[in-house]
Amino acid sequence: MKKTKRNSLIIVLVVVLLALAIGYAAFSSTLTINGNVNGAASWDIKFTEAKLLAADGTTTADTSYGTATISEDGLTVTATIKLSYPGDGVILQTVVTNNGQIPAKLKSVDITNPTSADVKVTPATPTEGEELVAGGKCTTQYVIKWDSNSKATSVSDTFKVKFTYEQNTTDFNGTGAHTNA
Amino acid sequence: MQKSKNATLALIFLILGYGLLATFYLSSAYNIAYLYIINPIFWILIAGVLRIVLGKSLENRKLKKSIMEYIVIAVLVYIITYMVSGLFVTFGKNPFSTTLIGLFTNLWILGVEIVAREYIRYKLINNVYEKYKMKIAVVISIVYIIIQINLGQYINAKLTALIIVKVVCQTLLPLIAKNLLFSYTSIYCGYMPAVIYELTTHLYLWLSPILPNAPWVMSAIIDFVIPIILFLYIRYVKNKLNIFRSKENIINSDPRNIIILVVLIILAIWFAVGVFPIKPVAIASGSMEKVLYVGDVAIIKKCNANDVNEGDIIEYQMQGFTVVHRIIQKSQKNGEFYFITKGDNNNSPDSDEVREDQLIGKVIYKIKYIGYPAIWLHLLQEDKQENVTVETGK
Repeated sequence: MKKTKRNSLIIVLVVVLLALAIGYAAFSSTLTINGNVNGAASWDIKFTEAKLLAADGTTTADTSYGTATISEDGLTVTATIKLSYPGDGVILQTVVTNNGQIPAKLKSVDITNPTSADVKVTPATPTEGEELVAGGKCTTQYVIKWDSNSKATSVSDTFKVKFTYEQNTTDFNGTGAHTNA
Repeated sequence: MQKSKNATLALIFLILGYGLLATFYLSSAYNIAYLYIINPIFWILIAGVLRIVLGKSLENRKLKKSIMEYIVIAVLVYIITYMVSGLFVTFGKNPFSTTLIGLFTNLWILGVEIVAREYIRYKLINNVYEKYKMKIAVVISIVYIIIQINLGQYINAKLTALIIVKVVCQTLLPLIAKNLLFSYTSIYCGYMPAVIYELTTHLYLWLSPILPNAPWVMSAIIDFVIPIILFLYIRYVKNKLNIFRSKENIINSDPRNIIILVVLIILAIWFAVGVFPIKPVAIASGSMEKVLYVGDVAIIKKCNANDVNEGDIIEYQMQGFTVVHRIIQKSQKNGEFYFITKGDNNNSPDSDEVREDQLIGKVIYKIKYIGYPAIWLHLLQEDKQENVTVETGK
């Protein structure tokens, strides 16, 4: 490619880039923006584990209690729960891992509770602002229980949890994740 | 200092040793101290020592100027491609701190390493005689790939076939492409092309308030193909400027012949994996017969729950596979849509309700027969994985 052609190409590309930037700014209210981006260079925070546990919080629950799945982007856990009788329950355990290079802090926790009023969820949710160091893990357990006084005959429901993290640049002396590993 | 292959190799292995120590011990044992003090100081120290001991190296100024212009073009194409890709997918907020403090923090903890690492690469490659330069470039590229791939996260991790493919495509191949490019430019025109490419592409990630929520296949291809095409172009320019060049050599290294083909292949891969608003899916069961037959390809338009109604044929996600069935009932509970679905050729509805977050899109068109190759590939995969049962939505 000749020098003049190269220079023309650079000018065209700069103009396209500026036009895109201006377009982004002008139409920012109509762009679909979903949470925080994950998987950019040096930034990789996602759920790495999601499972249903028995009442002791360590033994894996029977498969009849349902399933816990991590979304393809690793940012949401969905548990499909099937409980057998009033008073029955199961624990959902999630692990978030910071595989990136920089420390993050928890910006928000979005929980979609079960639709049934007979199912109660008691989360041990980490507090917003909590730091997750590079390489750190945050383990959280949610107790999902069918209300003992319920008159329903069966319970089958879903429960979703989504954590959003952002870079932590203000406080380098955080207490780490819920459970450090 | 006299050029020395042994001293160069010793330094490369020192960097490898430090990289492995950092991955498996320093980063976890001294987390914050490692990030803000140990790591930047290590790279500055090695770069500073090499600057003092080796002094300045000679460069081909004419080639350097051309290469810098190609690097600027590649960086602009990289950023524009990412920005445009957001129009096909969606955008997300940048998780990096885009404040001035955030910028300086990232420049210190990541930028310093980028600049020093490329300076060290350049100095070490040019600290040996001409005949050894390629070998040293290969060794240092391998060492840099090892220390950048973050091996620590794969220890004790459950490695499935999909995770291995993701690691290879998303991390390993882009690292190979970038190291190939940076080592090549280090040999012929210094460390600045590598620094400018690496730093400006990172600056875009650190400073843009929004970024595309690009699927991993999309970002893997962008991160791999742009450095590879840039490498081929620079090799072509270098051959053209070579006074001992042969015409055949120049024609053989002209990358323009393959660029259109590469772009078409990339677009086809992106379409097949669902990067664009419409995507194809091969029909593998007869549950929708009379409308969709085995071997047909259904064209799916991605949409949300508000855009589909009873009677629409939708594709939805199950655990490990997707199903294409018709909506027979749509309801709303607690602000969330639920669907009861059924295959036209089935006697009863599907056993589980479909949640709105399982919805992928609705069928807008079908093409007959062209889905057979995808089904045969799927069946071959099933034969290889006898223990895995893949349901295809009967």
